[in-house]
Amino acid sequence: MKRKMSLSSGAIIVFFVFGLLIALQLKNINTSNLQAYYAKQDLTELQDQVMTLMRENSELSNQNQILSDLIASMGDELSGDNKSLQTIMDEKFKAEIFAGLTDVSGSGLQVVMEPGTDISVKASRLLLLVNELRSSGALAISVNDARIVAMTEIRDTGTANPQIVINGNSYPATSQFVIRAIYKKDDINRGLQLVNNLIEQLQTVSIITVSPSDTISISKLSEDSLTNRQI
Amino acid sequence: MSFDKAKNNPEKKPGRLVENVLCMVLLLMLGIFLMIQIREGISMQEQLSASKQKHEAYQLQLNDLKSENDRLKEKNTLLSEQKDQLSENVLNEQGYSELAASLADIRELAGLTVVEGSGVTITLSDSTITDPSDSNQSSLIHSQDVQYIVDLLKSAGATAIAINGERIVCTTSIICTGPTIRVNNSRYPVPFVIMAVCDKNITYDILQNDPHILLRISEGVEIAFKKNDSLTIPAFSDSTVINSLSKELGGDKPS
Repeated sequence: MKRKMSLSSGAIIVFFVFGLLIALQLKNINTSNLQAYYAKQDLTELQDQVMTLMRENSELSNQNQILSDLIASMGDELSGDNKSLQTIMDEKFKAEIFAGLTDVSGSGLQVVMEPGTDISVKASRLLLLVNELRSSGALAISVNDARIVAMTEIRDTGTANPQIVINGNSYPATSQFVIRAIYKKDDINRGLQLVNNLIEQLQTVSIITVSPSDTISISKLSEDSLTNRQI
Repeated sequence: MSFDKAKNNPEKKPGRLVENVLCMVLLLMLGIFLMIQIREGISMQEQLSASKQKHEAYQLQLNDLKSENDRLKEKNTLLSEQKDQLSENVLNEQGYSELAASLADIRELAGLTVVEGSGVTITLSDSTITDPSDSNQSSLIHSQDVQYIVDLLKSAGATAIAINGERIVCTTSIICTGPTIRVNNSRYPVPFVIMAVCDKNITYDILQNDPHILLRISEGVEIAFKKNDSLTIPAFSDSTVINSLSKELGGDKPS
């Protein structure tokens, strides 16, 4: 009888401990899932975001300070000397460059795209190339001497006689397209690498060649172009 | 009773000894397992609470920085508008009204002014249904989708476009950065809201009938279009980018 009792209590203890172990294991799994969730959130990503915002806020504060000073000096000199006028001319000069209204030159890349196995060059492929050049840090881009600005459209038109419209002007899609991009010297290799990756992707449909150059010239946005006239 | 029997039967003693030893080993092992589990549990709990604390601290800091960023951007826009107005006043005051008009046009073309007008709003979101077999992640919105719509809007003749309030200018690139996209050096998660000042009816029709957009919708992503009678597209105001571009491309300033 006593042995039976001791066996029973032994079994109770064993099962109790066993149950405890299972409960603990389940709790640990839950904790580990939560840990995995926090790991997935990636702390470095958050840290990066914090750093970027800190930098951006500091730049914005500086900009705001400069703007406030400028406004104060302009207010003082509203009916005074030419200092304000000079500031405005500097401003205009910067805005012209940003709008693509000045001829620019420098080192960069020249990319030539030909139809290849396709009958004609497609706007989507030109867009892919232009967007890639822009992502890699191109400062100014032109396609067949048409300056690419903020609202430049590149689209297909016509079926019997396919054309590509850029800034409102049509270019025969069966001809070659010359894309020029000016870069900071340090960014040229990045641009070259990205374009080469794209060439690999498109090699079955288009013939694309790329060459770096120290003397890339890009014309300003034509005054007659639709993009310019829209304003 | 059984004990007495066992006592009287010496042949059963080794059997009970083995039983006791086995029981002891079993209990010992259970004890060890229990201890290991408890220790592991404590250590995991500590780790979890540490990473939770760190995560929360960064999230808090990030939220503060974001609201500070919004405030600074708002102030920046206000100051830029004031400066433009003052520039115009100075030019008009000094008899350069033509120059004032030309400056206004250039700034508009460059995307440095606020643009108001009718247009369309496109909202892009990931699919709510996740398909584990979707290895290409076609149910998610990618930077290429946003870029495609921006290019389509330009083709449709849009005069100003913004993605989540970021004005599209000549230097704008749309890049995928993990679960977010980067536009003008700022990162945004889904949903992506694209606003464009354009002919709302023509553009709406183009968007609704575009085969690529229809394909993406059939793949599960959510793309919604809306015509707007009045939209306000903010100006691009990051003077760091403007100054850097003019420094790199400008060479000598005009006299």
